[in-house]
Amino acid sequence: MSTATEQATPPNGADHKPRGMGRWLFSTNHKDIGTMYLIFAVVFGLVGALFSVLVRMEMAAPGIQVMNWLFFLGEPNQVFNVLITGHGLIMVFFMVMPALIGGFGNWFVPLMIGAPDMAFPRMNNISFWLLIPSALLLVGSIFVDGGPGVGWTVYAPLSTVGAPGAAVDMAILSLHLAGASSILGAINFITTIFNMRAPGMTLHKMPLYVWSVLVTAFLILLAMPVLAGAITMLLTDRNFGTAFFDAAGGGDPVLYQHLFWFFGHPEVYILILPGFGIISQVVSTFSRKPIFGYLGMAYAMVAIGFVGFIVWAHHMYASGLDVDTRAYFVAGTLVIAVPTGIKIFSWIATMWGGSIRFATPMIFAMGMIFLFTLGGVTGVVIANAGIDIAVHDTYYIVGHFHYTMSMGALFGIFTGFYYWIPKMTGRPYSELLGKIHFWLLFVGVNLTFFPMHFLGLAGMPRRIPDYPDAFAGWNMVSTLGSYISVLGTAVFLVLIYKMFRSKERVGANPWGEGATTLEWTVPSPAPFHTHQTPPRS
Amino acid sequence: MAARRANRMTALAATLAVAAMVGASFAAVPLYRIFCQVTGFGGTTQVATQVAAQVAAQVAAQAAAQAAAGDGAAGARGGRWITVSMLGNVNNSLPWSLVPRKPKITLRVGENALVTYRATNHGARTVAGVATFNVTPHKAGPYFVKVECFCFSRQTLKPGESVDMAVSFFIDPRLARDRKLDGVTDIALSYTFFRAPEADFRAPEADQGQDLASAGRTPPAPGRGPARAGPER
Repeated sequence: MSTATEQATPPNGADHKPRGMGRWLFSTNHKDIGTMYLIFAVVFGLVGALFSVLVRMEMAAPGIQVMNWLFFLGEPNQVFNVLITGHGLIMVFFMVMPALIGGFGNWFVPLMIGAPDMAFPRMNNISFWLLIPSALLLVGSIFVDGGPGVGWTVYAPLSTVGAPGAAVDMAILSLHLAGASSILGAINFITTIFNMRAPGMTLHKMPLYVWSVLVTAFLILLAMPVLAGAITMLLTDRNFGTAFFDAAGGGDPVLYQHLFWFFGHPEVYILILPGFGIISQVVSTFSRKPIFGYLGMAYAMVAIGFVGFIVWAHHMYASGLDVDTRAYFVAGTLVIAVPTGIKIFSWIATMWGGSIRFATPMIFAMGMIFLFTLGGVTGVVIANAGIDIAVHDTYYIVGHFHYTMSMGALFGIFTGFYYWIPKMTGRPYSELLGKIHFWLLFVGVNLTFFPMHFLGLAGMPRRIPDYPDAFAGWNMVSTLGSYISVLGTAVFLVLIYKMFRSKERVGANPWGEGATTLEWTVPSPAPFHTHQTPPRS
Repeated sequence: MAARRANRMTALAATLAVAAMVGASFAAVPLYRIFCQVTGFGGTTQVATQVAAQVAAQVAAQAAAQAAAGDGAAGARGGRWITVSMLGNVNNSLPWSLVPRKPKITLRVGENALVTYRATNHGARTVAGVATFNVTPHKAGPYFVKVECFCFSRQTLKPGESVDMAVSFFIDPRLARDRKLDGVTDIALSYTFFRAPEADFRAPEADQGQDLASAGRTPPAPGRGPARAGPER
């Protein structure tokens, strides 16, 4: 650094870093864009969390409570459905995807493959800034015409003839923008990873996080356009008199379900695969061993991505599929447990015999493995059409997908955060607060979601704010659990605050021996420009 | 320069993949319909391309050939009896009733049947309806063959008008040879009338006004004649 500043200093400083607002608005720097994605994800994560706490407060006891306070938004049942719709869409499109793909992906894919930046830096800027109007449209729709109370699946005919008013149109346009944003991002990642790796880094030597982003980018590329098509048909059905999903005009509402889940099932792997990649890096680092079965791990993700495209109708067992079709989708779905099992066992095998350090990222990674496995086990249960028909649309499903998504993806995000934040800020954080955060969140989410399995098996339906008194006990437990998670989140915010106040600085590689990937070879915080001459392996 | 070219080619290929998937999602609409028609998926019934007698003759010839080859068990034994129940529903956006004249009939496979539904417009306006249809169990769909049906086209009823709407069908004798349908003795034939989109029947109504007025309340011919045959379904 010192030698660089001694040379003739250009107007913007040695790194040509733009100053003021322009640095962010017109940013083409992968680290700045990654930072903006991460801030965006934290902000909307908090909004989504607020929605879910309102839902849990309502569900704490039978009858209608909290929804009455929100009378200015509309009728209580509708408000409840607007909140769960908003919670789902925000967490999927404005929290998990921006954090895992836009945030960590932008920051660390170029750093880990030894590229100076993304392949198309200006397109990268568009990807981020498309998300802002998208999020504003979705949040705005809540205050228009009673809000979009159609669920994150936006099923026709509820979303066509059942929801007049501009709210659902706004939500659909919001999804269009979010989809365009992630498609542009996916093209960028694919091009970067295929063409800009450092000399000597073959595909089979890439870090597993980069592999996970590559597979995810392909899933986005192939799944997102189908969602765009399906919701465009919804839009024309709603506004321009077409009848794609209207039986009276020769359409079929079940076709919407097929199109939606052809996108929706790969989407759940889009949410979890980057988390898998982060867990692989962290488990290897803190066990001070290379990952067990590297190639198997990489191709397990490819297999999950591929099989993820041909099992969509397991979300639709209740729509009247015939027995042969159900048999196929049951078998296909069960097959996914094989590559997923390969990953779980390989993580455990990596830890086996390793010199393990229980630092904050590592305990989050182990928490993620435990919780995701639990969600996977209930997934194998409901993959069976016979059982799924009984628990379809009950809290058993809510419990299942929160174990995989809310805990799998969220714990993956926190694992990445605690692993990489010293590289991003150059500052250490409080290990104590990190561990308190972990334990509060771990206890909180388990208390919240484990009882949902009992409630679901007992027949409690989703998407309804009221329930019989018989379900009151476990619902109260679940709500108390969500309060503990809120406490954990508060600890997380305190940790961030204290970290930025800290005067301490960390070196290039704070994790020592196990951290072997390229991002640990550059100083912390990572300078504005890195790898301008490709590193040699 | 070579790197930039490589980047462009990769991005172009990725963009083509996106375009192809958007295309595929819209192509799914006709493909889904064709898939249901061809496979009888979801109880989609078939449209006759041959009359019942021809089909029966073919099946008998095949059975005879197989019997001659020593595969006696596979042959269709006589005519199997099937009971067909008629169901009629009307979506509540349409002020009609739809009642089958006979709730059920029993017939042999390969035998032609004609059943009628009484449709009445209880509303104060001339309205057009379109009927969706299927059979249950769904696996009987490929064997339920319609020769002529009121559901092939849009039907228009004046205020207070009642008409008898006819369905002519037979059950493909090959049903008796499909082991998956061994337990099937009853088939439910179901119709649901939906209101046809206004724009579609307003315009012709003006031309037909006189025609309908002169026709009075006489029940129209089954299916209202070949001239009005709708899109193939």
